[in-house]
Amino acid sequence: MSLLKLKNVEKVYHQGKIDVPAIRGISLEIEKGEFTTIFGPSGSGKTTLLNIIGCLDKPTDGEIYYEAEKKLSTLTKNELSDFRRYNLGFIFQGHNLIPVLTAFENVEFAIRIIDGISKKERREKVLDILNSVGLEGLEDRRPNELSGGQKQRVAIARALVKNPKLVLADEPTANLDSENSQEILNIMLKMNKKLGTTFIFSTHDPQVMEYARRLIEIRDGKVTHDEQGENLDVPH
Amino acid sequence: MFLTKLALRNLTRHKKRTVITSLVISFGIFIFLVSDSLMVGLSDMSLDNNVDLQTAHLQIMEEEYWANKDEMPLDNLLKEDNKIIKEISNNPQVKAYTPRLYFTATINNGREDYPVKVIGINTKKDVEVIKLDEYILEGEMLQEGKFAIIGKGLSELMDFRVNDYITLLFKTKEGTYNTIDAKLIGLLDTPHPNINKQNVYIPLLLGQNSLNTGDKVSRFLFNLETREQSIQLAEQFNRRFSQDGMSLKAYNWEKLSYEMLAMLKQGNIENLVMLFIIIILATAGVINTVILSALERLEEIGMMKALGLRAYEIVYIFVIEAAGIGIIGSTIGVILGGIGVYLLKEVGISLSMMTGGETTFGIPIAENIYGGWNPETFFFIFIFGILVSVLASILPARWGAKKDPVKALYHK
Repeated sequence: MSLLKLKNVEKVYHQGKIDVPAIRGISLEIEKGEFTTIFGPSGSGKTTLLNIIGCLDKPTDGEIYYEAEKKLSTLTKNELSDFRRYNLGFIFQGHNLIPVLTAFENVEFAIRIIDGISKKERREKVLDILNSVGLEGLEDRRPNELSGGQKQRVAIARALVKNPKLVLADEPTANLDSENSQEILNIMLKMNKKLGTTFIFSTHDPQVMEYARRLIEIRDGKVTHDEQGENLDVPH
Repeated sequence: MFLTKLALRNLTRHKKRTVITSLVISFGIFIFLVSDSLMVGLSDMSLDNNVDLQTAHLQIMEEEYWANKDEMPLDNLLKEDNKIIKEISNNPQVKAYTPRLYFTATINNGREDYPVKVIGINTKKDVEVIKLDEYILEGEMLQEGKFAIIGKGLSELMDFRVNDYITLLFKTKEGTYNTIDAKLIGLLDTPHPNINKQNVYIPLLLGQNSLNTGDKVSRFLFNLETREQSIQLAEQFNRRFSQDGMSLKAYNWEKLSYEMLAMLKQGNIENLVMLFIIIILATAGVINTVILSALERLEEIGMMKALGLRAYEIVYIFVIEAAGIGIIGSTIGVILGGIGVYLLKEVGISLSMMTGGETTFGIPIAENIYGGWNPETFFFIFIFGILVSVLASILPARWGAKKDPVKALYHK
C-alpha cells in the first residue's frame, strides 16, 4: 500500500488578474520507506509540491490520499494541523530553530504538543534522537552556540523525534558546505534505514541526488522524469 | 506549560523593547497612582477643612433661607433663643451648637474697599463648634465688644495689623446703609484659604445691633460626636420639624459641602481620563511590540504551524508574552507609584506650586496637600495594566497566527 497518492494535482497562483500555474496535473505514488528526491530548476514547482504534500498549501485541483484512505482535501484547517502534528516532519532550508530554546527544547517542542507522552519518555526520545544525529553533549546549547551543520542536525532531530511516517525536507543542505551536507544526508539515510521513515526532499544539488533511491524531476510544474533504484542516473 | 515557558522566554529576545514597552505601562500606572493619591488626599483634606472650619457637622436654618443662603440674606432668620433648637440639642449625639449671623459687607482701610463675608458669632459657644481659637496667628480670639478678627490673607491684602480699626459698610435689615468700626484684635491663619481671605468675625450681638435684626440669627451650627452621625440625625430632626409643621430644616455635612463634593467628583473624572491615557499608552506599546515580534518571527510562526500548532496556540504564545510585559510594567509601575504615594503622604505637595501661585481654584486647602493611601487602587491598577496588555495583544497576535504558513515560511 502506498503512503501517499497524488491524483492530478494542480496549483495555480493568482497574481492580480494573471493566473500563474505552479503545478500542472501531477500524479504520483510514494511508497512507505522511500528516500525520494524531487529535483528541477528554480521555479519548477518543487517547493510548491512539497508544501501541498505537507498540507501547508492546498491544491487548486486534484486529490491527495494518505495511506490510501485519508483524502486530505476534505480535512478542515484544525484537522490538517492535527494531521501534521502526528504524521509529518519538516526540515527547512533555514533550520527555523527557536533562538530562546536550547537544542533539547527545540527538539522536545515537536513532542510537547503531542498528548500522551510522559516527561520521562519525552526526555529519552529527545536524548536518543540527539545522539543519533551526533549532538550528544550539546543538548543545552542555544542555536546561537551551534554551527550551521549542528543547527540543521537539531532541525532533523526535531523532524524525527515524533517518529513520523513522512519527513519533508525543502533543500535541507542549501545553506551548508559540502562536508556538512554529506553528514546531514548520511544522517537522513541512516534514519530512513533505521526507522523506516519515508523521506521526500527537494534539491537541485547533484551531490544530494546521489543519495536518492528515487529521483523525480519536475519542470514547469510537470513530472518529466521518475526513476527508482540503487544506481540512478544523476543529472549533473 | 511549554508554550507558556516559550512565551516568557520570548520576553528576553529583545530586552530593550520589552523594557521600553513595560516602562510605558509603568509610567501610566505611576501617574495614575500619584494622581489618585492626590485626589484622595485632596478630597479628605478639603472635606475636613470645610467641615471643621466652615460648615460644622450639621446646620439648621429656615428652608427658604437655604435657597438663598449664598447671598446671606437678612430675612428668614431664626430666633437666637429658640426652644426647639434647645430641645433637640439635648440629643446625646450633639456635643455642642452655636448660632451664627451671616451678612455681606465691604471692608475699608481708608484707601480702598473689598467685599467680605461677615459672621457674627457667639464668642463663648462658637469655639465649641468651630475651633477658630486654634488658628489665631497673632493677637487673641474674639471677645464681646466692638472687636473683630480676620484672616491673614485679608490682613495682608488690606494692610491691616492687630489693634488697627476696620470699617465695615453694609445694608441693614431695612435696607439702609450702616457701618461698624471695630478694633482688630486677632489674625487667623487657617488651612482654609477662603476663611483667610474673605471672612470677618464679629460678636453676634454687635452684628444683631448693627443690622437691626434683634435677637435673630441666620443658622445654628452643630458639632456631633462623629461626622457620620449627621446624616441620620438630620433626618431625625427633619421628621420632628415636619411633625410640628415647622419650616425649619436640618442639613447634614454632605449637603452643606455639595459644591465641593461636585468639584471632587470632577477630580474622579480626571482619574478616568488618566485611565484612558494608560489604556492608549499600553495598547499602543503592546500592539507595536506584538506586531514587531510577529513580523520578526514569521518563519517561526510558519514552522510552528508546520509542526501542527493551531492558530489559537500561537495566539496564546503572543498573549502570554504580552501578559508578561503587563506584569513587568504593572509591577514597576506599582512600585514607583508606591514610592510616589509614600512621598506625597509624608512630604506633601504645595497646592499653590501645583496651580502656579495665586489661586487654589476654590479648594479649601491653604497648606500642603498630602496624598491618601488606597490599597484597592494599587490592586486594581496592577490587574488593569495586565488586562490591557493582554487585550491589546489579541488582535495583532491573531493577525500573526492567521498568516498563511507558506507565506510565513517563505516571506523573505
